[in-house]
Amino acid sequence: MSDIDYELPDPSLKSIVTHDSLKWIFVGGKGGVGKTTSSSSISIQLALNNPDKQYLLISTDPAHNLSDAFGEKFNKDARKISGMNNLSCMEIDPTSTLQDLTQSNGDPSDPLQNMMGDITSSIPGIDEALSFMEVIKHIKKSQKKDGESNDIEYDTIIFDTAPTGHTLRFLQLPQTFSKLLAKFDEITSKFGGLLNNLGGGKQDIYAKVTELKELTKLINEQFTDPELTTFVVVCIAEFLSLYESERLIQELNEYGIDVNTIIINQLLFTQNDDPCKRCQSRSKVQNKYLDQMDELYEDFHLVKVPLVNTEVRGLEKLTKFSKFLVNPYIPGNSVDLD
Amino acid sequence: MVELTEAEKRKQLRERRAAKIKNGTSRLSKITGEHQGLEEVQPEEVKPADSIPDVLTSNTNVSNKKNNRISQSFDDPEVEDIAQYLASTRTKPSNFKGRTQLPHPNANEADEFTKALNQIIGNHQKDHSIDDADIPNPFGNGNQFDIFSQLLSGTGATGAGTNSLPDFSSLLQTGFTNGENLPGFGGDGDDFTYNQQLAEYNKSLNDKFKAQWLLFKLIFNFVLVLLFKLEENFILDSIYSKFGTSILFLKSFIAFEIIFTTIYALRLFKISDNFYNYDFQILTYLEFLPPNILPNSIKSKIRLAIRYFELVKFILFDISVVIVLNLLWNFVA
Repeated sequence: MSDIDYELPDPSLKSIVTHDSLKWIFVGGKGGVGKTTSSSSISIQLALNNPDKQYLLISTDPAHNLSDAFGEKFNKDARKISGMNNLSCMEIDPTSTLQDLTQSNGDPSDPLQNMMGDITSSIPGIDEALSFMEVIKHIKKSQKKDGESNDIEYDTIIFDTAPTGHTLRFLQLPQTFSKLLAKFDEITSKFGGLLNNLGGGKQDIYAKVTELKELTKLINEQFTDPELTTFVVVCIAEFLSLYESERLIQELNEYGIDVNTIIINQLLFTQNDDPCKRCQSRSKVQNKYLDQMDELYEDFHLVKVPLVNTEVRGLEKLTKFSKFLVNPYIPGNSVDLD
Repeated sequence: MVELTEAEKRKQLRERRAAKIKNGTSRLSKITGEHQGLEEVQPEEVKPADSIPDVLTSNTNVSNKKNNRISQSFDDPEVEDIAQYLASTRTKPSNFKGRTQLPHPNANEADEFTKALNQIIGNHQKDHSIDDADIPNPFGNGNQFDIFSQLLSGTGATGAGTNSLPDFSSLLQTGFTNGENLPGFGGDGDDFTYNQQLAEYNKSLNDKFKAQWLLFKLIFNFVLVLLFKLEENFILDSIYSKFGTSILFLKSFIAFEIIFTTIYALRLFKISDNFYNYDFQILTYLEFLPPNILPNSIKSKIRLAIRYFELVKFILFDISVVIVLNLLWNFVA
């Protein structure tokens, strides 16, 4: 197809909302650009447009905001959002997850066990590791035959991720684990019997490692399959955000993770006759970066979202806000969510 | 025109994006404003090498401050002929800040080295208040540092008596393993002082290593006991299995003890007896007993037994640490 026939990608999230095969959607970017609001809005639009499917919104950010965004409390167990039948939410909490693990395998009243739980929960990367465990759990659930599990099986899982660095570390985990497990595989194939004896003979270490290796490989394949996984980058029209977003996109490209949509948030769209000089000035700066983005990301779905007049909190406001993602905003239209 | 499916459109867009993202550095440069555009440089636009400085200096976007670096503020030093340093044995160049004088170019290699050593180590001789003339020199040259020069020149040790220094090749070996070359009590001269100081220095090094080793074993045993006591899974329960019974702990403890003791033994058996604090005076007294009273074979067996006992002490230390930790655990839990 020649460039003459090439049409610019639609500046909305419709491609994601109508993409039936997507299983994993990551929403990430620099801190404070509106990831939580965007991920919540994407989840709401998915749920509204596909009422027959089940969706799960997971927060992997240690500084969780989903409860604040929706105005109701979520925890490590997935729970449906009030007012939505097909959208659930969970916030991964490393401390309580580890406590559950230790208490299910030992004496709950043991003070040293709790201490070890506290220590382990502060290990760098523990949040990413636990999020990854969650992914593994869902993969395993989907592999089970019908009727074997009473839990809800989700068609698509949306991740409200931590700021860029943590998310990149999380996305590296499948590859890192694969390499680690390959090395472990070599060791267990030589010393499997000895390791089983040291393990007390209760569990077959080799079988467990093999299972984990297969799961990690599957996750790796799924994360790098653009028909199953996509990453939505959220940014604002400022230098730091743009620079970090570009580096994020390049890193994701190296990992083989598809990025086709960028949400540019908090845009002023100041009109020429607007008397506010500060707004004019800020808008001028934003327009400069918007022009750069239009040039850099001409093959991406660039969703330009206005800065609204109020905080976007609660299901009602998030639902109204989410419409900006699927219907491109026309400058001059109302941004009043009330 | 054939209508593309959604999947084909997505694939087409992906390919276009991938092709553009490959040019990552220039994209980032565009954002930071160092380049004017994203156009790739065509081969015919590459200028020849001798015009590159013109391109760089004519780039008005490059800050002038980058050219005014401190490293570029000074002229190159004047070229000086090294022969002027070698021609004079005593005079120093005006800007020469060396601490030693360079040897005469016509002196032989041994003399050069001797003189350099004199300059470096000469102060120590004075600190010890030992006059050169009072030191009995096994090599008979009247200067103790000629020992080194003769060793290096390969003459070896030719002195008489038990106080003669071993030759250089034996110094390279693992040391005075049988104690025969050690100066005994009442040994005279600076050789004995030197050897004594060498032994003390090595003992302090080995003591330090021993202390570090004990600390490492203490921490290791502490962690091992905790792990087995807590009986917990780590981050992924599918990877780690439960730890457990006292038999399992015993197996692990014995396995690690064997490994660590072997490592330490390999090191210990390479160290000379004189260079290690064994906490037994018997080793010193063994030297006084002539072979008529106590044969050398028995002496060497005694030394060996002491070394093994040193290893046993480490094992006893670990066992006591484990017992104490278990008692503490039972008290706290």
